[in-house]
Amino acid sequence: MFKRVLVANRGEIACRILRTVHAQGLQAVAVYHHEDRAAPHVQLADAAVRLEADVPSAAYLDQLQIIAAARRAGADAIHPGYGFLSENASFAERVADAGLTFVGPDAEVIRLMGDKVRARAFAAQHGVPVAPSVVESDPGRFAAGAQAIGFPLLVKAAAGGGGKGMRIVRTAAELPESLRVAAAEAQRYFGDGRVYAERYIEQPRHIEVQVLGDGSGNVVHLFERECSLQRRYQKIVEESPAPNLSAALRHAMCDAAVRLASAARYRNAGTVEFVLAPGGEFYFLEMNTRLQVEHPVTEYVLNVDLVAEQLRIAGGGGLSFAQAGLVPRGHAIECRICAEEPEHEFRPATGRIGVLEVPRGPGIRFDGGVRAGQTITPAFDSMLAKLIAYGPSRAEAARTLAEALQRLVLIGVPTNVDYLARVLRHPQFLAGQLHTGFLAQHAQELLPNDVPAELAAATLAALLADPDFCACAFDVPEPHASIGQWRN
Amino acid sequence: MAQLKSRMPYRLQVNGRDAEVDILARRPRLRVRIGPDVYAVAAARERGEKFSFAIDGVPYHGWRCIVGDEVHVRLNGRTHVVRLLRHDPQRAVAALQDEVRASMPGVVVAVHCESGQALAAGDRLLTLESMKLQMTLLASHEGTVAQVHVAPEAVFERGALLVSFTRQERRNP
Repeated sequence: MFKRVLVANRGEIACRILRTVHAQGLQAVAVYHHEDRAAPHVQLADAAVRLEADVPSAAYLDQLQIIAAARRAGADAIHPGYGFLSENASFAERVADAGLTFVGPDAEVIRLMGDKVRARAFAAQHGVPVAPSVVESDPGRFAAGAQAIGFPLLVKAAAGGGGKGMRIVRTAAELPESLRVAAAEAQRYFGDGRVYAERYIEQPRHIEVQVLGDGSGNVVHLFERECSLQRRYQKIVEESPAPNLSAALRHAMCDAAVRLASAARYRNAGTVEFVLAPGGEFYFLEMNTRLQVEHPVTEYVLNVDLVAEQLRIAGGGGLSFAQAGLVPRGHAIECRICAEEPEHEFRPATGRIGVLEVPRGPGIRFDGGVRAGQTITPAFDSMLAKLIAYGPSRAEAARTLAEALQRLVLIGVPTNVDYLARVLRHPQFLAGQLHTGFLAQHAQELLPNDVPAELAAATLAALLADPDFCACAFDVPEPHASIGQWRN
Repeated sequence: MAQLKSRMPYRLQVNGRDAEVDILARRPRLRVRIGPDVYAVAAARERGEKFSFAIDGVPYHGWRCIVGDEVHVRLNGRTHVVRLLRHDPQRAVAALQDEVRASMPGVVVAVHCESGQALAAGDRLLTLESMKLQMTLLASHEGTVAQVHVAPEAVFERGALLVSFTRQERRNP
């Protein structure tokens, strides 16, 4: 086992990984850009190395500096967290070449799953369902292929991403024009006009399966998570288990995930993502070869520490448990607290955290990476923290989480905290009627409702912080204060 | 108890919506008008992030922090943003130019100008009495009186609007 782990990340995930590193009796090294010098992850570590970069986020992407930092600080392993270099195959190779342990899968598997076309083909090869698609340059053959899949179709850019160059085609008549426009857009955005089409699934659910592999073909799954509540193509509420999911479907998806990961001789933690159609068909979306943001909900229902498992596997320790030993209990829900304004299309916000009071209690977990007084800038991702709640039932977990959100005080910069509380109390959420269009569909119902008495109280609270108001309210000397008139 | 004849409304925005606040009375207890409603307030003068008071007997407590000209308030599980418009620097400049406000509470002894009157800098506006001191307010610059908002014997608070001038047109040189 290693002695010192360098965490090549920042914010809440760096803090979370550091906590387990310490819990395992190991030492932790943090890296940081100057803008992050007062951040909690720097203070939590046993040693911290500053990275130089003009753009703050670039520091956490600087492979050579990070490896040099590990050497300098005497670290023998590097945990990449999520985002940044966590799915960078070259980085994994460089770390290994430097004689250090990369806490994650092997570079070839990272590379395989990072290429969406190769990953898809690999999945299909191993009996994992993939969405029917057509990839043809000849318009006639494309049309025939499209007819075979059936409408509606989603036309996508082969070199694409971020929702760009995607269009929905509902009839065969629309297809030629849509292909032409999509190809032109793809050329403009990605310099590559190749397009393909997939069956478009209306109101899909996003279900993913957590896996752990020992690198020798032994893989266990840690059941599924539902991540359908998304805005700006990002998940903001996740849970485990997925509600309203038949045992048959659950097993089918989990088994498919294990089949895929074993075939890849997967090592360490990963997540296989699926799209689940309303009719019950599911298709492979992609595999993420790293720890995911929403891993805490899995940890709660299975009572495991995934980072501890990652460190153990990376250290050569193999898997801690057999599949039969993994029995999920209860329900966990997580929400992502972001600096943003939900009422303005969720645009990211900046500011200084004036007050931070974290709710505590049984079944509540707060994974934060910020402190009171910290300035939130556009330099980094807008997610500030995660709040997770656990309960014996989904209803209780939702109630605990909604109450915890109300008790949380994070003010000075606008956040989505109150918006999330409204989501958790929405009847359709409580009924488990989830799909990726949920937040857009219920946007009107999720607007805030002002209670006049509370507005008055808020107004007064603000005025009582104003010296002029206080002077008027408290300092007016007698006799003016008591009587209307005064005469010498 | 006689009503205060002259008062200053605090103009503010709560969650983006305009609102007005007046202090109607201080003794025996603080009575405040917020929008159309009047509330009895039991509050101590406590500055700082935590607050606690009662409105019409209902207790409220929470947290607040100042963000520029806004106060972010968290109570009953919701965050509200209150912007005090009085502190808007743009308005302060306008106020300096076009409005004469009381710098402390007092009573009007005499009025020396009237609506429509053209004044030069230094002309008398009002004579006021405050804390047993009499003082005469003078026009700080030339201008035309739009309106005199007080009459003799009117009692006013600090910040009360006393005299307003018509907005100066910028003359192009």
